[in-house]
Amino acid sequence: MRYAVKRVGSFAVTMLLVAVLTFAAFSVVSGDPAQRLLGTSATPERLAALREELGLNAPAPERFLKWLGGFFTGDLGVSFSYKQPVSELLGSKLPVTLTLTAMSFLLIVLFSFPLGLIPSGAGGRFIGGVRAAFNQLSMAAPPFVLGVGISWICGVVLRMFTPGAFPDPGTDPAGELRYLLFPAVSMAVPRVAMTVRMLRSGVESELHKDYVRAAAARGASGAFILRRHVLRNVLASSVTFLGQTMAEIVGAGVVIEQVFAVPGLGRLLISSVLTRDYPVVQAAVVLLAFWVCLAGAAADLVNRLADPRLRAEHKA
Amino acid sequence: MIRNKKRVPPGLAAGAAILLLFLLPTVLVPLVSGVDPNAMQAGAKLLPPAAGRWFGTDQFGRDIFVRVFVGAGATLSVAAATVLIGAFFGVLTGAVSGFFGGWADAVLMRLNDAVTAFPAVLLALVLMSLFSSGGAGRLILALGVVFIPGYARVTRGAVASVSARGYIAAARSQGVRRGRILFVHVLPNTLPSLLPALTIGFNNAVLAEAGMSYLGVGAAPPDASLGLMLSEAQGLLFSAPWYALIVCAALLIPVFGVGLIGAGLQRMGGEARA
Repeated sequence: MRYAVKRVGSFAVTMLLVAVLTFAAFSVVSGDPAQRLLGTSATPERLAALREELGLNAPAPERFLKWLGGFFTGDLGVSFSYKQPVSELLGSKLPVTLTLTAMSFLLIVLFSFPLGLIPSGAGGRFIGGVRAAFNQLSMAAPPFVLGVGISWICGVVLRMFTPGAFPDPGTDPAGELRYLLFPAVSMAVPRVAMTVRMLRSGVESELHKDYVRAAAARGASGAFILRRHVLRNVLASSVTFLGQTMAEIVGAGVVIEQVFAVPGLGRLLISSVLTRDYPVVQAAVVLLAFWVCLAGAAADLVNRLADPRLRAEHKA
Repeated sequence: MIRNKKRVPPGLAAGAAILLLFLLPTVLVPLVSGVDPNAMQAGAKLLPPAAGRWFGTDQFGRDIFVRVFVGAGATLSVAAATVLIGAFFGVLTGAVSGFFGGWADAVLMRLNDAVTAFPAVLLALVLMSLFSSGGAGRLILALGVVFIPGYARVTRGAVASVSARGYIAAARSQGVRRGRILFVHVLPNTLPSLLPALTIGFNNAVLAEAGMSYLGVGAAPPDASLGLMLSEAQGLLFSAPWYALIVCAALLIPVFGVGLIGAGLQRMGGEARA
């Protein structure tokens, strides 16, 4: 319990640090938001009025606190290019990105654990071959190259979907899910390969430990040892890895959304970077960082619950 | 480092061969082809591969064969510059951090944790939008900064483990200056773990450059860059699928070669330690 409080505390500190750095960095470069919103032809009176309205005359710490509070109250400023509240923009994009991330994560878990935990002997040469091919792929192919490959094979050659034709939000949930499957797979494949490799080396090193030999000497079957002893030890260490996986897919998602023209947070972020729409960029960055840090903290907490050894170490 | 008769792993040789075979045309084609990679030909748009234009032409009638190698050259040199920046500052901070320890170590590693908590793409995007101007230099700088923490962490670990060896204690007991111990005795012996990290870093840098250019925040048209070309080619998947496939191959071949070299170096390092 004390650990949980500490971990949540360090999560809060990290997020605060991220928010301060982001805010400070973009305050330096963003210039005068009032000018950006009204354009160069604005009269000094209107500029002054808008500055007052946006609270730009307040000292920096006060503006920061107001902005930080905006993540809870929904007031994150106005987008330069869309002239629309930032929170509205982000809110409309968030569901797509969360769905995509969740799908990809689910695929990673569903595929890597069976592939990684089947011992190299089982399944014969076919599974071994699949595994080797996956590993080769992971070494060379980043998600966006894979994404282009998948759009070509599944979209152009097999006509399973039309690349770029994402259904209008809200009109066709099933179609959205179907479309998102392809980007989700592109993001999942390299990560599945990495997770499989991690699990395999974990299983391998556990199998050489004394307790496995002792269990075998007692007459326990191989499957029993694997299920009862080895898996529990390997799973505990893989939770942290899954936390990092979340960070990886959030990063990959930014690019993949562009590859498949998915109208999510990542695509909004890219277009905002290109148009220097700083209010959107800084809010989106903090939001994505929040998601990543949350995954990391959750992984640590789950790990702690699952692995009694960590708790013992902490007490000692 | 022990320099006895070490066998070169076959993977390393194969990787080096692949990389060389790719680098050769990358250097030579722009020099000897005599074709301007940015020259447009209105009458020769999207022609399929044929004799005389081996990879066909793109939507502006530019020769893809020449552009792929010019683009690869751009991508690979940005990646190399990125690795140099990232490795220089990363190795420096990692070495200081791992060798001297104490508060500097604590501060540097916390900072490191904070930066690595960010997905690399996100960090690079933030940095790119912060630097207001400066073309390729801007991208190199942004990516270089993104890669510093990784090198710092690897170096720190390697320096700490080498520092614990007997001959370092021996050097210390003879009163060798600490700076000299670090640069003459410790750092050269971290190479077996640093070299594989450098190759992995180079690959990540290649893919990062291509990724950023693909997103439109790296190289700017009309210059050739593999990422930029991939994004152009993607729009032409229906009419000219070979374009995208060639660009993907040009991106994956050097990465694959360097990956093999890295795996080979890692194995050699492991044998040296064993």
